[in-house]
Amino acid sequence: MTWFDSAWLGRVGGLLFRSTLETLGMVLGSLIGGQILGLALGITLILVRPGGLKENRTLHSVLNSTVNIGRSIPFVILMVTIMPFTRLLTGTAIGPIAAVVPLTVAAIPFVARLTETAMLEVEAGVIEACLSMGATWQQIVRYVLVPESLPSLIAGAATTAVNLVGYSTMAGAIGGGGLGDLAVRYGYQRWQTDVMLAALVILVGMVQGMQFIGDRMSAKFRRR
Amino acid sequence: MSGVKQMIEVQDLSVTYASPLGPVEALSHVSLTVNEGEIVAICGPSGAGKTTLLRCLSMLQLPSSGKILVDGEDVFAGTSHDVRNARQKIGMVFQGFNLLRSRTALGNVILPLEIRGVSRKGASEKACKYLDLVHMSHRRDFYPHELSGGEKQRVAIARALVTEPRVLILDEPTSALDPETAGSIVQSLREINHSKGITMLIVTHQIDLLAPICDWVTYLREGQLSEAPGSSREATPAEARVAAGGIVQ
Repeated sequence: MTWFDSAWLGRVGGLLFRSTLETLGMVLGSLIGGQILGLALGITLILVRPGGLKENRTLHSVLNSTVNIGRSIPFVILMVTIMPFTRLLTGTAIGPIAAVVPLTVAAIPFVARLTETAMLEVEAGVIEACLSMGATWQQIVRYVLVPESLPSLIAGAATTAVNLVGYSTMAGAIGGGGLGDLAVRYGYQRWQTDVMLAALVILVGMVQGMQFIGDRMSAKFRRR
Repeated sequence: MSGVKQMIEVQDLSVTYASPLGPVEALSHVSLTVNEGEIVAICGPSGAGKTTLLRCLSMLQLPSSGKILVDGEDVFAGTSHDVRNARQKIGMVFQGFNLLRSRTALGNVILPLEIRGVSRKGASEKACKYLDLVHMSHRRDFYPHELSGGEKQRVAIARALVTEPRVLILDEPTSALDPETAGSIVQSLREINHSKGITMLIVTHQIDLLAPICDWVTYLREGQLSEAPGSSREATPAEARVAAGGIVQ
């Protein structure tokens, strides 16, 4: 490997470091936003579904369709479509901070569906046991739905994070910054394959690390 | 009997389900009175309506008609808040234990107290006391998957008792247990009934095992109750077996 020496590192190390931080920032920011809003949407879906604790078929139908539509829009199109909204929130439509907005919007329906699936796995008998103790629906969410589905929620968060890494590189390709931006500008537009490969190695490592942490945390809370 | 308090009164209770083949009557005009401190067993074949009756008693299911009074109060008469309060008079032990996997034995027993807003310290002390009552203190920090079937059942009983309910309802409390463990659970139930005076209503297939501790036994068949020969309160375990007519295994 002739190109991987101190001179090369000095030339592109700073670029790689800054781009890695940008990607991590985009992923972390949108993961937090997506998890909070997606979890709330997923819990609402569980509560209002037919047979749920706060059954409301109309609201369930509307939310369910919204989640399906949200998940079916390709990320690049979503990013361009909501640019006015992004500009409204961040004052700009380009750069890593602006990219957090569409990344979060893309994560919300994904997290909501994962949350719904995870919570559907909670045994109905456990919920009934709590109802028989006089629990309110809020207490069932707090004491049963969230803690009992926590291992699956963590595994879902890891999957979301990995997806967001992929999305963030797409965001980078159209001005979002980060490793995707670096790979396109240096690797594709300037034919610097070494930079593109280095970005790729970092992205693969990032995904592996996120999945590893998610798997370990999920296993820690899984009690079967 | 004068001076005896009626703890559970089921009055003309019917439950009808809608099904693709038409309405199905799970319970038909069931009436039942259980006095304070009694242990009563309900037996009957699968599909007789036993679980439906228990679900109505624990207010998990609304009846189509009829009333249920617990300690003199109509449990379905009030608002959802009243229903929650009424539920707190009844402890329920489920056939499948229904313990939370994410909580230890102690955490599971604390849960009903947390739901009532009892402080963490007070809840913990009380939960320890009830785990001790069912001989489970040594397993307090174990998660359900680390416990045997009998131990899970003991934790479930402690969880049902920790709020000091007036009535304890048990759905097949010994069906998932080996004979020795089942015997020790039955013995524990007798001790709890004697020491706390809690009224118990037990649904079971294992009438041989539970009849000796019951004040009387009744049978549910095709959604209707039929009492034991003569006065149901005088039925012996042997009569109970005969009256079950071979339907109780």
